[in-house]
Amino acid sequence: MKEKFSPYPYILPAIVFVTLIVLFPCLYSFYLAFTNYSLYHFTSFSFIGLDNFKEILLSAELSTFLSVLWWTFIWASVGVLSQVVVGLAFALVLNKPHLWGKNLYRTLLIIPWAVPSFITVLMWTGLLNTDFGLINKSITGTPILCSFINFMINGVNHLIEALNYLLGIGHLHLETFKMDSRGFVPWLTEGPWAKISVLMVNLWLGFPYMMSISLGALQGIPAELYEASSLDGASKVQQFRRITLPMLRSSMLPVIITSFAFNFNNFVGIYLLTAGGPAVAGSRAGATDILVSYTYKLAFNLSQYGLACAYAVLIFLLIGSISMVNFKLTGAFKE
Amino acid sequence: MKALRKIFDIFDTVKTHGILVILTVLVLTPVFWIVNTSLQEGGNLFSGQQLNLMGLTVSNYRKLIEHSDFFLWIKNSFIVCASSTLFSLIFTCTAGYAFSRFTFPGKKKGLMFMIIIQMFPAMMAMVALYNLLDVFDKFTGGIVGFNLLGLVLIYTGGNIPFNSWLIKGYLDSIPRELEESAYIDGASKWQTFTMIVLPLMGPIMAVIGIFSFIGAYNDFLIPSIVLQDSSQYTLAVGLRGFISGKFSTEWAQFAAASVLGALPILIVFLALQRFLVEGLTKGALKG
Repeated sequence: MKEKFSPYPYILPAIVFVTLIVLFPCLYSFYLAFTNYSLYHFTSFSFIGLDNFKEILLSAELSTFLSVLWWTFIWASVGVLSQVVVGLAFALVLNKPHLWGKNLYRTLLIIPWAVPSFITVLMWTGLLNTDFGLINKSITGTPILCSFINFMINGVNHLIEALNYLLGIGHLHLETFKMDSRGFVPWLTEGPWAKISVLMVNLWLGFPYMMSISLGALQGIPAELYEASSLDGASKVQQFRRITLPMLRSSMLPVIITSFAFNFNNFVGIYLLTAGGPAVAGSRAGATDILVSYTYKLAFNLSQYGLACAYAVLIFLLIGSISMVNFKLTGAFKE
Repeated sequence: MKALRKIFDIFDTVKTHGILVILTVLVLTPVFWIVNTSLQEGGNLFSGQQLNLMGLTVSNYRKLIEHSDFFLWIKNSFIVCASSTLFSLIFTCTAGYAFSRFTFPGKKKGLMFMIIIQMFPAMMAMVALYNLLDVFDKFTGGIVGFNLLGLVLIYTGGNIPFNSWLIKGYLDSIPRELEESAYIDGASKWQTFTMIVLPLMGPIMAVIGIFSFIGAYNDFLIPSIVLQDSSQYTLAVGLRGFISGKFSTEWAQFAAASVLGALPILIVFLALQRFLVEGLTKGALKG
């Protein structure tokens, strides 16, 4: 096609918008990361070089940074893995041929994903309320459930204590799960429980997406493969391990990596449920604070803008490397 | 033998349905709870919990409509979502078209730039966006600033990089013959774009449009920073007010507002689920 037309009128509006709204703020944040912009230096902040990064990496702040980083990785990876496992399990059940009412089940199960998450997450704060939330009421109202939970907690606590004993290193001390004085579970107000709660809610919110993706991917596997293998005498388990999983890998892996990156920065999932809390003694970050929610806290609650931007730069570097792995795996840069 | 086989089959079906019903009920319990709370008399968690079919009431809905700014929040949300979706669609369609159909210096770099820039977390730009809005606020005398227009501006810009990629990828898979024959018939580039290419882009525009709309509707973070006047609140920010007050927790009204606020999105989502999931999977795979 002969180029007698100019492409620039078509791209210019997009470029202008992206430069103004996306590129410029990013570059400006990069700059702010090297300044002392804060409540005390609100109008007259100045360039201070690497001091913010030094504070994060070389001062008492380091232990906060490390524990938040550690929890962010746990949150992102356990969150996504649990969603994949549960989503895939649902998809496998729903994928049965000639299952009556398949579409109805799928539609109902998609609801947690379809309802706006600011609504469902806020709703969970009510359900998980220690004093009058539905979850604690159901547990205390059902003796069998109550003793089962107690049994599980004791088991897990013994395991944690054994681990602490084996590791034996002071700062790797893992907390055990405790009930409050009335025997209620403090879902959102005790560190270890709050972590379980945010992961649980995150699973509930996210498995329908993974289920939908898995259902699509499962339908892409040719049925002949299963027929041929069952003629050869393969069991269901063998078929799952040798056919289903490898065939799902190529379509699911990019989705999993993208979700990991998303969850890494999943602010709403944390902030609306616990606001990063409960508070931890001797740290500005709460027990469930991930890097982004802590950055938010630094910037908009504590007015530590420069330090917050330094954190944001570190997050970008982390997410950038994860995305590069994603591009390598999916070949997005290939023409 | 055959009869035995049949019995096993029936047993298997019953088992599958049993599992699915239990799981579905378990998954949807929170949703039942919120609907039930919205329909029971009373303003807090204590009374909203027993399922009392005789006592169903719409009083919470009436209270919500009469005594809160619910419809104002919904209206604000829809203004922001519709306009940012519309603007970003206009800009991404033209940009995606240019990236797919023209060759020009800087094209590959432009595309790279678009994909790298969307890796920046929105969080990172928050402080700077805040300052940028401050500048706009002073510059335009408060027309574009810490208000709905400011939000529209942020969403429109934020949507462009990723969506341009999606549209470019979609157009690449559509043959160019139709456009070429239009040129031969003497159509200009703009005529070809509006009369031939745009109609072909319907499906991808619908997917992108719906996701932009839902994305803006669901966002809590940016409006909570940008919106400062309560008359400008979107649903997400307004709704939180019901239950964030330490002494005035209004669960029943929150529940009613949640049901009403979630319904439009829920209906759209469920009606188009096949279509959306397909669009999403393709988008995800394309990166």
